[in-house]
Amino acid sequence: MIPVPLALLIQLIPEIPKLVGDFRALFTKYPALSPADLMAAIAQVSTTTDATADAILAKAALDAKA
Amino acid sequence: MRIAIAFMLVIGLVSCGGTNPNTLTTPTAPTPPALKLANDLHAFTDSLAAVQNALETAKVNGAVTPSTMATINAKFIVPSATLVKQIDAILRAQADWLTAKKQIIGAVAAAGVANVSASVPATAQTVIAVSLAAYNTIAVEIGAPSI
Repeated sequence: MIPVPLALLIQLIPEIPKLVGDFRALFTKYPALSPADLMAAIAQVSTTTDATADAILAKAALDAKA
Repeated sequence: MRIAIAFMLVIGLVSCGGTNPNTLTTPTAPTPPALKLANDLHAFTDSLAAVQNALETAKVNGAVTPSTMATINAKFIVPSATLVKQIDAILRAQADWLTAKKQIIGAVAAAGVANVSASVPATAQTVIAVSLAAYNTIAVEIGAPSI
């Protein structure tokens, strides 16, 4: 018969790689995104966002006139 | 007996590590808060466009009255789209996140979108629910009041 603590340990074994990964993530130093790269990434997203917002406002203005 | 158990544990650890190589790779870098906000703002804007289309259809079908549609447009969709453009401009102009965040919180407070619940009929709240959820994601991110 397997003692309870050992049975629990065996159940935990599949979780160990994930726990190791989480532990490593705590001490991983990420390469910092440069301010220029960050601003470029934001500009890329916000250009589309801005265009969609403009279309929404135009549609709302049309609806208000109708 | 103890040696056998220890041996089994070692074998188990080694075999699991070998079968799950992906979980041991270096995790990806977290998204900077300004870029995360830009992405969430994009999702919010898309949801606004979807709500506007849904309202248009609901108006044609008679499910939403023209006055309700006008109210939602005036109290939620137009102020939200205007707010989106303001936040977008701040994000593009301000590299320092803490400064940008302060300006964004000011813009959110001035827009008054959080008061939409009081002015939109209960029946129409379900139509705009998706956009409200997207708005709340942004509000939580910057520490502004949720709707």
